[in-house]
Amino acid sequence: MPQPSFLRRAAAALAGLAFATGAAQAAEFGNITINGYGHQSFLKTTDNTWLGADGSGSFNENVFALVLTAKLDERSKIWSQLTSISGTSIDVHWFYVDRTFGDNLTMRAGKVLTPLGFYNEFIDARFLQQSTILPLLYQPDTDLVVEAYGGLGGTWTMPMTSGRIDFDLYGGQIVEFAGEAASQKQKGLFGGRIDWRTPIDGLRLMLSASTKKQRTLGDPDDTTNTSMILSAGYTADRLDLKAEYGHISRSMGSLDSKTSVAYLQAGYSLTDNWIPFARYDMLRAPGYDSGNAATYQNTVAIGVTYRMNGNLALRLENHFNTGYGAAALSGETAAGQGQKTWQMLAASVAFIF
Amino acid sequence: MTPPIKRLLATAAIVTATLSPALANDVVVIVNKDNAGAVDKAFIAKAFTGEARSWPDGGTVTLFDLGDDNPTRAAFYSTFVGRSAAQVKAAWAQLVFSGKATPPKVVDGDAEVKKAVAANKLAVGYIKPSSVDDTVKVLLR
Repeated sequence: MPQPSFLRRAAAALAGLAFATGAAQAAEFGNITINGYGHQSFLKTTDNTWLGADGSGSFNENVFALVLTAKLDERSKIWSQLTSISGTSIDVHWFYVDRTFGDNLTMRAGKVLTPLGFYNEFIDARFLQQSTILPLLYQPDTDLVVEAYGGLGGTWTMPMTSGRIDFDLYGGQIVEFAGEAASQKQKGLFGGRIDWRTPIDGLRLMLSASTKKQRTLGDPDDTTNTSMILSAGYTADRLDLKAEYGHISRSMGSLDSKTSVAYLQAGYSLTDNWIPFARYDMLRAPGYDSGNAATYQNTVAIGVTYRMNGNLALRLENHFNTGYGAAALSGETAAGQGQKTWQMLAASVAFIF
Repeated sequence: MTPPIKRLLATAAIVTATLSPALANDVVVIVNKDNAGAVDKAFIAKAFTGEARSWPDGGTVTLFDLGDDNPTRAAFYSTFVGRSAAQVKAAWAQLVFSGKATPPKVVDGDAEVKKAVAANKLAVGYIKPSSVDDTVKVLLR
């Protein structure tokens, strides 16, 4: 397997070449197109450890990805993404073939991006998001999002006089990356999403739901996770509003646990370059107790993005946290050992081409 | 308001009023001569941002775009899409990175757009008004 630095070097070389010419575009080789994205962050906390960062600061949070698209014929494509996250080995994060039937049905088979909420399908492309740090709803340790599944899925689009509705259905198995695969046996996943582009221009409503069954080594029973995400978004010329609420319930034998997460986010383009944002995040972890700061987290984040051009952005943000539920869920800060009130500073550079 | 500021604002208004129609007249949307569909500016805006993928009477829309450095491109996105080229690029990037759709095919100049549109009944593109000839049909101007 190639070393992680290879992908970073390849992405950086392609991006650098494109940026140097002032017109970063996808590279095309006949029917094959290569796009890419990435970011490098610096994270620092006042207290607690989360996302690999503590009071000393960390450059460990980064993603570099190449997206390859090969057109087979007028109705079929192969899609693939090679990704290196935080210096880990390169993974094929998704790889599938799609085929369009008629005007409104697209089927996909392989290792496919899971349609969940607004961000899951481009979760690592931070250039396209308001914040460097994902909303708590999308943090892997909440268990609400599954990046990709191995199986079969389809999207049926219902055109309307004004707006449209996309119906997604999928089924298969979670494909774990190396390391996680050894501790969990996946037994199946299916779900769907209804994505309504309403007649009100810019208003989008969404319902995502999925259920998955898995067995963790050492556990006596399978765990069944059932999740639901409600999403509402409104985009106008310069305004981008998003709100999502997610809930997951887990059942293993007679044991049950629940997690609830929500956020409200607003971004406004002051100019084509300057885009400030604000977000309120809320997490209620399993066993939520308002007297135990390890079981919840409320975060107010403010920041600003400076888009140098259509390909490159700089971002600075600060997160004011009460509770450290996300840090405790990740295992980076032990329950009972964290500070209730703490902050996280994030600075990043992100690109797409 | 002081007179100099009034004069400045009046001048700015005149310049804006003068330039805006000029921008609109710098580009026309063209389709294949056999395309009998009637769509409006809003449909074209949705098609060129990946929101609309099929013609109202059926068939997948095939889009042809000009390169970043072509001034007709900026005029088109400003006039018919109402978004900057950077905003449009971000919208397509989201679709590409989601594995949903690929951006319009970029061709080199008005002659190539006309050639591509003339060869495909479901195609749509944009060119300068002065480049229009009888090989294509003007849909919007």
